[in-house]
Amino acid sequence: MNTDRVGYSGLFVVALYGMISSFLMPLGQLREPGPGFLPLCLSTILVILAGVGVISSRPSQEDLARTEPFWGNMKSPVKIVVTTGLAIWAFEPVGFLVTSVCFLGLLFRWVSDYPWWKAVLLGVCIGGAGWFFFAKLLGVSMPGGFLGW
Amino acid sequence: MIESFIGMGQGFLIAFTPQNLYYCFLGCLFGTVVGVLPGVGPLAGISLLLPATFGMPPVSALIMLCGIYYGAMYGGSTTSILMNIPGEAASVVTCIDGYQMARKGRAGAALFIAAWGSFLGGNISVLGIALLAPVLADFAVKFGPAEMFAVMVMAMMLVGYVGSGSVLKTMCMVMLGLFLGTIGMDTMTGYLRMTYGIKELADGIGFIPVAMGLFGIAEILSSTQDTLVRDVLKPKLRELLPNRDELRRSWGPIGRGSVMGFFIGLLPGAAHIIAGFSSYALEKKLATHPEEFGTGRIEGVAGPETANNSATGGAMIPFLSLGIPSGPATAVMMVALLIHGIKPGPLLIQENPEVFWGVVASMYIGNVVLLILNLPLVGLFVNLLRIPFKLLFPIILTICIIGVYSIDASTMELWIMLISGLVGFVLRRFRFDVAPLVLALIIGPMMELAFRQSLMMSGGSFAVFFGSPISLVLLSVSALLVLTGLARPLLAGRRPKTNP
Repeated sequence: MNTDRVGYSGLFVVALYGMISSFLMPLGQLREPGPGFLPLCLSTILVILAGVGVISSRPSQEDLARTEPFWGNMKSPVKIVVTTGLAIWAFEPVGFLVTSVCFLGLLFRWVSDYPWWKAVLLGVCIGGAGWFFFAKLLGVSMPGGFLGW
Repeated sequence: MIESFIGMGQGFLIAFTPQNLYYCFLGCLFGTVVGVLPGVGPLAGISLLLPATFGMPPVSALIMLCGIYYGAMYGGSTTSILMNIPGEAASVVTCIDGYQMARKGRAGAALFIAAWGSFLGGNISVLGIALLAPVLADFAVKFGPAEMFAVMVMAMMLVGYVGSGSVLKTMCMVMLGLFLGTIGMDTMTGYLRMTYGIKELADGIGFIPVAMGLFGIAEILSSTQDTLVRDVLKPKLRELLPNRDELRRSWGPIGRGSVMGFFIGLLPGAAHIIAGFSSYALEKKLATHPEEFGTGRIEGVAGPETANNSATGGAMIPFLSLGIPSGPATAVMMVALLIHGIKPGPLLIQENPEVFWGVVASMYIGNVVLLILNLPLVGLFVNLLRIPFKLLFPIILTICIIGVYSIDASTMELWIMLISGLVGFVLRRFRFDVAPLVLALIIGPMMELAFRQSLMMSGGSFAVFFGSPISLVLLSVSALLVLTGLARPLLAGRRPKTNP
């Protein structure tokens, strides 16, 4: 696979979408440019640059030598993204303390492969310490959730 | 000149009172802590302690807030070097070589040089404030929108040199960053651009969640792909200090970074960020083996860290002598002074000399305090590397969430961080350098404002950008940078190298 070509193609699509979106905004005139003027200029330049990249890119040595799948092992990254997404979703309704304890416990067990008791213990200790340091000691505004913590 | 020395003498008498020394120490300590914590930068630190200053004398209040400001610049390099997570915006560029040094077992040396460079840069810039403030402030105030636009274009073009690989890829990232910077409410017309009904996007895409995602989250996602059992680094005491060769190679970047950072600091906007990137670009340009930048060169740490601290001092000049805050952090400090009934501006030195000179003198003391605080802490910070990665990464993720949420108390920022992490992960796989994207995102809104103001002032004529000698020179240099950047691989008879 020509990695560079795929990368530039992705950028080309993003830039094209940006260009179309910019066209839908008021462009104004040169003496008074509208809100869509600069986004249109930038996305056009990006379309050109990415287009040049798509045309000119050649497979690198790394591409030619690759025998494993391009994306590599995605198990842990997917687990982390899912866990973080769940934590963000629960952050305000559940509250900082409970969410951070559960988030940490889940990561320690699911991704780091610690035994259950260790994962729970680490989650409670580190989550509790974080809550005390940031929310109580530094007074950083954190969501309390339905429990008020 | 003599008046400056007399003023400095009076300033030291004020700064050396036990009360002011205490507040200076407190500010430096708190600043170091907020700088080390990813996401909790100087702005958040100053904002947190602002209410505590209401009952203090104005000099003490400003001394403490300044301590937080430059203390955060010191501390910001720590997580960049150890974890590839910038503690604050100015430390983004330190990630590039600092983290690579840490991976090679030279984290102690990188932290030592960063602290030493910050100390020297900070002191040189304070000397600059005392001696050159009136003259340089006059020069900076002459910058109109066209000149500001030219400065920012040059900063962007310099990024082409910062990028560790192909100029085409770097320019793509710059354009993408600038484009993302246009999302949100148009400041001139109030039009909502690409917000898709999400009201949190009206303020634009925040820099901190994007930087935390592109650097921190993406790093964690990439690192956990292979194995979670990494070699735990156990540096010996001897390895905490830079060796003779590293010290020798650091002097030049520290000297150049001090001068460059101070002058860039005079410009309004993200001066300390531009200073770091520009210093990195300069060092790379001057290096005999520029291709080694990005693999753990001490020059890539010494120059930018010195420059961003020196810029912090330079940024105090427009703030104290013109009453123009050069960034959000100095804007909060200005609010603190206004609450105390003191208006920063040209009359500050005449009407409140104790405030001006007291603060300037305290910055010398603060730099010494920070050096004393930071050098012994190098060993402590490096010990973070002894923690197994499978224990460390959930903690880093939690700190990222806390840091990002604390800015606006909005979960939208957290989603932006997570999405940026995924984008950063993908871009890394395709060997795109994300540092230029981050800088472009910060500069984008300021650049757009300057661009549109210039066109409106000239009635739509692009000649405005070439009308003044300052912008003409800056834009010519920018064009030269792009042309040489694109021509270099052609002249060398090979296609541009891809990022490692």
